[in-house]
Amino acid sequence: MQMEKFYYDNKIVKAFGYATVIFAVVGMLAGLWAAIQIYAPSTSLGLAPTTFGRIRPLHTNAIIFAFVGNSIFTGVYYSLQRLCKTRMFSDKLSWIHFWGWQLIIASAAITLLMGYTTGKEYAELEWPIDIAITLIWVVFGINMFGTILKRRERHLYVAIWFYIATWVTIAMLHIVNSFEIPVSFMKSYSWYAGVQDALVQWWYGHNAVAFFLTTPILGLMYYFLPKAANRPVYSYRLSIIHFWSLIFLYIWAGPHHLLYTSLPDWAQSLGTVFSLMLIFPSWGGMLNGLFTLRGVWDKVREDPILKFMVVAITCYGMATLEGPLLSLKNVSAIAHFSDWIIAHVHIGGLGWNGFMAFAILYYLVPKMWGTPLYSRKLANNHFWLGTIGIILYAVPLYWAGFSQSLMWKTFTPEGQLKFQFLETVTNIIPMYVTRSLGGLIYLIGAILMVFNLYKTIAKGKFIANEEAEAAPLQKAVHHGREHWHRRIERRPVAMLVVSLIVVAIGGILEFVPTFLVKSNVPTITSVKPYTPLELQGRDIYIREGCYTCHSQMIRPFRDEVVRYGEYSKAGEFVYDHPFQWGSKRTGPDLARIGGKYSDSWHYNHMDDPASMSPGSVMPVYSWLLDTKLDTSSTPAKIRAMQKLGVPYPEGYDKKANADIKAQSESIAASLKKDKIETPADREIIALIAYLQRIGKDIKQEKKEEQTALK
Amino acid sequence: MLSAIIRKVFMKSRLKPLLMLTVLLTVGSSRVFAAEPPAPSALDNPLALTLITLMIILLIIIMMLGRLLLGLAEIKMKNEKEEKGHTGVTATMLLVMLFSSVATFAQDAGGATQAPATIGGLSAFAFYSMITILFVEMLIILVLLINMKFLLQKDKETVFEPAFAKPSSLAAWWGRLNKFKPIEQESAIALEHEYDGIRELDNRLPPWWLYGFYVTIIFSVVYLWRYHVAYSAPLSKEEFEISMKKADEKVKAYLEAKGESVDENTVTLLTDAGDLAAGKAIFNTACVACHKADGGGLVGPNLTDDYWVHGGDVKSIFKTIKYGINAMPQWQTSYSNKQIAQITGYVKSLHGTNPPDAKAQEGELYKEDAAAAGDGAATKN
Repeated sequence: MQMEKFYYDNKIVKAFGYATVIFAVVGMLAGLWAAIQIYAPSTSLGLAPTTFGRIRPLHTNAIIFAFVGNSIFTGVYYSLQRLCKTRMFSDKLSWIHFWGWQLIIASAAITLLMGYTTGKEYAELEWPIDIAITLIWVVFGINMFGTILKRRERHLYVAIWFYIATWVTIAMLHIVNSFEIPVSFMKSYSWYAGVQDALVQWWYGHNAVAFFLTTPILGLMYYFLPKAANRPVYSYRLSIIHFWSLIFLYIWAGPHHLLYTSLPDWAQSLGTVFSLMLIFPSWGGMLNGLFTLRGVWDKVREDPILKFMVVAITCYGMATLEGPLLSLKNVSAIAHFSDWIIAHVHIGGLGWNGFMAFAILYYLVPKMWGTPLYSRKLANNHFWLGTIGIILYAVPLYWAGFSQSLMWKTFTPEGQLKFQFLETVTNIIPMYVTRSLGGLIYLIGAILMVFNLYKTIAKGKFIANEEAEAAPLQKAVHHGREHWHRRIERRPVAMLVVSLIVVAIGGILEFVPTFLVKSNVPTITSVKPYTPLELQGRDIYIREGCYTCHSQMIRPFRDEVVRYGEYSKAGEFVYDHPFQWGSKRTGPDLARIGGKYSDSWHYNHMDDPASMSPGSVMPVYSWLLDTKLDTSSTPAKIRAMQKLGVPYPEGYDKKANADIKAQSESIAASLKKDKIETPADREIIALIAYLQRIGKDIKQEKKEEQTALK
Repeated sequence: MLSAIIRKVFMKSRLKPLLMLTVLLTVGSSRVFAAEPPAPSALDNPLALTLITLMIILLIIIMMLGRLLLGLAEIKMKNEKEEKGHTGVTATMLLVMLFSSVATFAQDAGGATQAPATIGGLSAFAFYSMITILFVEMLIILVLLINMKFLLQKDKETVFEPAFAKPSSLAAWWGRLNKFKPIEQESAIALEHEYDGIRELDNRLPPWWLYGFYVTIIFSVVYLWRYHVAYSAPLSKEEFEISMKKADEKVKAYLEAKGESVDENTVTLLTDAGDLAAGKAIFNTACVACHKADGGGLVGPNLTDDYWVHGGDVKSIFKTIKYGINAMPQWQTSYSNKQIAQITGYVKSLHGTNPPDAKAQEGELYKEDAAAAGDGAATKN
């Protein structure tokens, strides 16, 4: 058999590796800053771009798409070439992919800080960037598939199954969830509204975790763990079963983010049971990882790479057990909206994603620069700092979430809520401080790694093109019986198609009834579209990222109904493009804030929250008092909403600004009564208009009912 | 002869796990549904559910133990081909055990057909037959465990001990739990392919993993069944109604026991120093933001003059604080009626204090004497 000589492209791996390291530090810094802002609101600097509502999306996007994203590409570009015994399909595409992705990240960072956001978590980027992501993702797909098609290895290794499923599912999720109608260059409205928007968004959000933070990393684990440990993978049949069951079941689990909300009960139940069924498929990956280390545990004690991987896989196992348990309704009732969830995701983020990325970098750099790691001791120190960081981060937050949630739910024997919302916040501030300390320690560990890798690179010599040899692709010969799954392993296109079918089922079966069956979202006649001023105010609410701290979803619990008002109904959100239910209550729920306080209260509160509620951790939004409201966008916004089916009268886009003027002036007049003099054309007026509107329609209905009865 | 049959059925069949699962599912589910027709609400009953769940769990344990035992027996038979007597004994044991479990299923299927008296909401017959099944299941587990101990002892003596250094019992247990192949025998299950130097073994699925997966699937079916087919568990809105009712009853009972059931119809002006101090404390946290510490008014109206927006008598003030009106928030969710009465008392005590910088008069003139005659008639809603 004639051997062919070829070269692996290490340069692209190096580029992605550098990007990983840079964005690890950037993303963690943003996270640390956001964590400090929670207990020290003055660190928001009183500036719009550096306030929590914009820093937090920056942190999540930087960590998920920049840090973890680049780490995935680093690992995939390295392992795919070697598993396929070929160079990447096209160097040009590799570089388009690399620079395209970094450009997306840069534009994401800038636009998020400028306040351009769709208001949907983990999908905040506006439509031009969404399109860019789609294009670059396709480039990546072509490059990956091109490589697979020109491989010199007949069968696809399990890591590649995971890469394929990742690619096809992320493509589907991103496209479906990003359906939006552009209003202007950097502004759009979600195609879906209210309950449907929530369902689509959390189908996306949950599966971004599944198919961006889990499956590709599992694929990387299947390559780098046996490599680093020099052991065979534990079980081929376990790989098969856990791969297919994982990707099939994961897609269904999105609604567990919406338990006890206005989402129809049947969809909630699907979210619960499919999450529970995920325990063992997820654990299949953990077992296959950990059991691969059988016989080399003595090595784990010494090798920092294996140490990182073992803790990463263990964290993965813990998070994937905790997740399903959190999907049980009675657990979700306590954990949802609290810091428990933040702790949970950081076990996955810091432990699984972070540690896997570090392990891969520690593995790759010495390999590609042909020299041993500069300091093993430093890497071990990084490991310990990271581990202590995770513990110091997570434990206080678990405690905070649990105790705050119980405080929310505590009643006096007389039937009154025992604690004001603010009391429950100030009570957990020590935990917030400890958490940021944990984050800081973790970050210091990462900086140690940067130094260590830098020193290693400095003493090594980069091997840009690594020579390799392999025989050309052979026809498959089977000796005797062959495992049935081998057939699909040599058919990458079939693999792609079957994966797509498997992951499409869950989404379709959940979406179609929610969109088509009317009883799922019963209409409430008193619910009317927002006035143009309220709509503008809502866009300010979205721009400032209020949803990162405030929910708009009162669950049917005694404490929430007493604290916030009647529980939320599906029909109330039919004009909400996008929905703003939120996922975390650092501040109280706002679903029925309308009419609860006076206009002047809101005015003063936005200027300086602590003046109206002493001890508040909300940052100041004083720029809203000075910035003029941009009404030039009103007609386009009204037209976009009309296209989405919001029943503004024909030709209303031309009259809308007149209505804005009238409503603004009446609010300014009401403020004047309370001795606040302000021009009527400021953003604060629009925001007050929106806040005073939220959740009021249904109260209106109550009033009408009562008068009818009389 | 018996051993031969067993060997044929269980050891050569590659479908063994599938077969066993099918048996479990058909028997298991027919059992669940068999319990249903006589008492349609059987799934409603938490006791029945617990018992059924227990039965399923025990059955799974039996299956796992059974398989483990068969595996052990297989090893033993291979190693002691000459000693036919022993294998016969184990085989008989196994057969007895299998029959006994079949017998229990039969018993159950015939079981819950009549329903005279109830125990915990279940017919006595259903209850006792379920308990019997559980008992028999436990008995089977016991027999299996004894058998296993017996087999393991033998194995230790004859097979393992001479070959390897004795593994710690924990490690041995861990190995059995996961069906580990000893690392020395790994080459037997190594697959022939390799990818960039990575080889793959084809270890069996850890049994606890596989059965755990089945359990979650069964749980899911039962869960969906209960909530969306049998409607035997409350959906979120029903759950809310139930909890509210419960809480209301509890609060009512508590207040009645304490004899503290003041409300807007019975409230009177409190002038006691203790009450006023308590009222002041609350006023200083909850009311100052809008009414100013001295009651002179800021965002909210002046509380010290003779003019009242929503009525100035005790009952009206109490009501305004309790339920809120327009910009005034409601406080009934934060403070008890007694506390609201204390705030009312304190607010009334501020009357005529003439604080500096007070807000101009708002609302209607209210005079104490006139009200004494009409008492609360002037209140508006």
